[in-house]
Amino acid sequence: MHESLRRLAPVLLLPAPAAALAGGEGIPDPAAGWDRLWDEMLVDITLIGVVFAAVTAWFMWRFRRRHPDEEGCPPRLGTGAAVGWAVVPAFVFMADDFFLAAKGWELWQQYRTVPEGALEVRLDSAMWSWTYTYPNGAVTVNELRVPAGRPVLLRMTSRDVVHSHFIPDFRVKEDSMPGRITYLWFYPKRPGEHVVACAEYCGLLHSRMAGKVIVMEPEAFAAWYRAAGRRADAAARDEGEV
Amino acid sequence: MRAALAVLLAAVALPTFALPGAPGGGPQRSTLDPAVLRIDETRHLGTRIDPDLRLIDAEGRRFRLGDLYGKPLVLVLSYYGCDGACPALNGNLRQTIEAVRRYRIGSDYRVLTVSFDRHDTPARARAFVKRLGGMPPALSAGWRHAVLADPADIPRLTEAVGYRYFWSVQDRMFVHPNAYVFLSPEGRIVRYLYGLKIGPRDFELALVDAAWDRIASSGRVLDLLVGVCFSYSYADGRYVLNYPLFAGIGALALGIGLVVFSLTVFRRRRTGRIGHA
Amino acid sequence: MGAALRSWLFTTDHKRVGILYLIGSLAAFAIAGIMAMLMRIELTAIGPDLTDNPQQYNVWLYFHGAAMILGFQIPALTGFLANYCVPLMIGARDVAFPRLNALSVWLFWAGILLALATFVIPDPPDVMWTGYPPYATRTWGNTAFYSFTVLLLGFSSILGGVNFLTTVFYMRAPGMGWNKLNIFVWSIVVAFIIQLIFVPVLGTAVTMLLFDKYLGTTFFDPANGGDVLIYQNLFWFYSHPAVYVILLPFLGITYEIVATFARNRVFNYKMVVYGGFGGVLLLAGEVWVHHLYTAGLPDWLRVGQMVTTLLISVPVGLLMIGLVGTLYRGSIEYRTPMLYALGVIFFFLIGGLTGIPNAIASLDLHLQDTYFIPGHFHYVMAVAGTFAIFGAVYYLFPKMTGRMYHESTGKLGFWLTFIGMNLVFMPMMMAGIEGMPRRYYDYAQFPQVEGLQQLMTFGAFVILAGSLVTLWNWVQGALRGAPAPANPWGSRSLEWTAAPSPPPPGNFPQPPRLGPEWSPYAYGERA
Repeated sequence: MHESLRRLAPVLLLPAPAAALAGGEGIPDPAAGWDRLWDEMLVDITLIGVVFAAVTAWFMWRFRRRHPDEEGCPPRLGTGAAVGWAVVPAFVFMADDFFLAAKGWELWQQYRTVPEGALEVRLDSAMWSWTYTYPNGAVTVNELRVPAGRPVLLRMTSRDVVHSHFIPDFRVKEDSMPGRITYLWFYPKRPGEHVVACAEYCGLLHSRMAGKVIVMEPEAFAAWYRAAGRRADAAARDEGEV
Repeated sequence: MRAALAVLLAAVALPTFALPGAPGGGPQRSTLDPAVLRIDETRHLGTRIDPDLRLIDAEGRRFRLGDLYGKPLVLVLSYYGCDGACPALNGNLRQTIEAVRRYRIGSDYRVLTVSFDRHDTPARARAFVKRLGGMPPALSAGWRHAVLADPADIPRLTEAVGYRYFWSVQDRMFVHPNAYVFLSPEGRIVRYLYGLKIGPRDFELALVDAAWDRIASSGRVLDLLVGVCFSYSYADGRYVLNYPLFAGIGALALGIGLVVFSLTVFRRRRTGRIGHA
Repeated sequence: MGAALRSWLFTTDHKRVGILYLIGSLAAFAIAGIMAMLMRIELTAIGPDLTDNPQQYNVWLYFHGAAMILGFQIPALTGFLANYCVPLMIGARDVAFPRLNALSVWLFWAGILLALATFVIPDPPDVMWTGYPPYATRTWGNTAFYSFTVLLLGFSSILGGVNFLTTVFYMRAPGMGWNKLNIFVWSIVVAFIIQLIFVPVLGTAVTMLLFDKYLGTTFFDPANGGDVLIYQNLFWFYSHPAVYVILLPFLGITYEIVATFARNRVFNYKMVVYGGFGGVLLLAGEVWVHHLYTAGLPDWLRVGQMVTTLLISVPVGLLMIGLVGTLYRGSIEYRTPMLYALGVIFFFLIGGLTGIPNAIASLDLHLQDTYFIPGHFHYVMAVAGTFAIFGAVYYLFPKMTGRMYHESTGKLGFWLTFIGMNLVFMPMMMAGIEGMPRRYYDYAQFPQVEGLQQLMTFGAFVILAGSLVTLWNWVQGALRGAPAPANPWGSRSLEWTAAPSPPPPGNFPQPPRLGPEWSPYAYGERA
């Protein structure tokens, strides 16, 4: 391939991020949203659980059998009470359901709306490794290097079976499948390392299909990215000459 | 993929090169492995084509590629000096579009023919359209024949779609794949269809695929149903029926039938008769 | 001896068929339980503990899942309990088609034996109980054994379904109206309707899997026009309703136990039957996508089924209210079956509530396929279901064997398993929140969960101890227990009031006569 083509590729595939990013403000972070919703969820289900359990425990103590021949003496429910006991709880549960669904939908929108200017990396999964290809042709295996403060979009497919790219620290996973394209994005804010795990059973080394997301300082990333791109160009040239 | 190669071979004069492994190729004859032109689909599917590519169409209008986004876009890479596959590719597309009933070009989707030859100009594009017999008004609203405003952009476009081609000196023509590239309304590559003989059904299904997210959220139930009834075969380069879905629906009908059977078929027998038979 | 064996094997008596189901399903439970113990030991510490071959672990896990669901829970509830209880509860002499019934128990045993072949064939299946392609069609493991096991057990279930629907519809004792059925009978009706509707879909899916792997078809091969996701959709289109096939009967039998030991009418019967069971039946087929929240399906489908999945909480909540309401103004006696029934309420409460985060698509993007999921479904289905089955065996013990079990040994077994279950599955959910994915042979990337893993392994041994105590109690009780009266619990239900312990062939010495005021729950009012 022509060298000029390679050099031009990044221009095409990397939309200029500067304007859209403006210091990372205004980009919602789904991971933080997940933690918030999870806490609200815990309060919600704990409350319901405690009410149910407390009522049950009280009944268990209050209505224990005192004489061997004793029988229950339940009140007969009239039609109104019977219907009420079905309809009122049903509406209470539905109210909670719709409340939670609305909350969940709000967060879902964040998860599904990719911010402008995300770094788009192609991911090919295969038994049992992750291969990341950057817009400039740089390729890494099991190691996704990204700059801090810029959202990352993965465009995923699989070469063999179904895998699922899971980054617990960013609270996100999505399956990668042969013949289909799926997307996943996350927002690394600070430099650091995060575990990548496979979350869809894929055979012998499923549990060893581990990788890392390495979040770098933007300058350090830029330097690495240029060097890795040059190496990829050189490799492609060698291949082309053969 | 197989279909693509067959068409590829038809498009270039066969005697001029030998297939790898075929006997009799002299040293001066060029040898082409058709695989080098193959579009590596899994590598390129999902790629977003830069909306800022600037183009000029046959009527001299300047526009950005992104101006055509917002609806599914069918991208056809051709060159206007071609007298082999490209006119056929565009002519066939025209017949296909005229045969497609469910979607209207212009209002439901757009088509863009772009040249990958740096010597092409809007004037040559106009001549190309004329050679094809002109554009009826029904088509011209949604179909542009264009060149890139800056020929240096050509590799950006062809690399993004994974389109490889070269100039064959003996034949004085470009050797290139014959593909229609279907872009989603956001400009991501959704599907490649190959060859000169795609039917209206494959074309419609690829459009459904390209606009899947919009169709799915707009409640166009029929499109949705048609979409799930078919699945794309990479090996054949066309859509085939999604048999497991029909098998599943059949099985569900069988299950409901079993329930009805158990509840009704013994109705005539009396309770006691079964019980003490 | 030979004659006795033959009389059991070729029996058409629904009670004996039921006991054959019980023995087979308890065998599946025991072996799948051993697999669970092996896995727990393997996971105790990071690195290889018991085996250095992950394939071995994968086979254990495959067998554990497939055998526990298909070989233990579904047959124990819709095989053993349905067979033993339904004809007795509705006052019928037997099921509608006794020979079909015998055939279905044979098919079940054949399925169990085929599943056991896992341990003798050279390339045992390793496809998990879900068998997703393309892995299931690419693996060296023998997927055929998975497919045929599913098909045999599915076919057995279909025969059972036709049989029991016909039985309940046409063989109720004269005077037994639809609103006087035992709650358990209702739960079996609904469970079998679900089973009949959806089992053929699973059968089709695993058959196509078989064809793909061995006959070269390409139903699920994307390169050749197949669709990767359609199998997952078909599979869960059956397998989520299958959860209700387990859930409804185990709640049904829990209702029976609670009503009997609280000597109380079921609270708001019609709400339980029409709101609870009816609601589950209506929603069962519209929620499967919550298993596929991370599978790249269209957003509208994921969000739509997020709402339907959350709505499942309405009928299930009504079922819980009915259960707890049945305690109200009752007279509760804490015998072993009742402890198990209260255990079901406790576990089901936790399991049901931890299902809500899974139902929410956005929260599921983190939780999907982590330890949180097995933690949740073990609480809601495995643990609550197993407690209901154990409770039911204790409850029916005098009726089945004509003897009493030992009460305090039973309670000891209960408390051991109760504590053990919580020690395993509560830490399991916590490890899931940490991000630990399921189906992992090793977890070097997640050193923070090692302590939790050790707690789980400890808990597993407590469960083992409790299960052994329970099993020993059953064997002892069956062999040496004190003779049981016809109705040791003072229940009002027909199987206790109209039949001796154990009931003879034909069940009832005199056909039961039901007055207009008769109800299986007629407590507190001297009729």
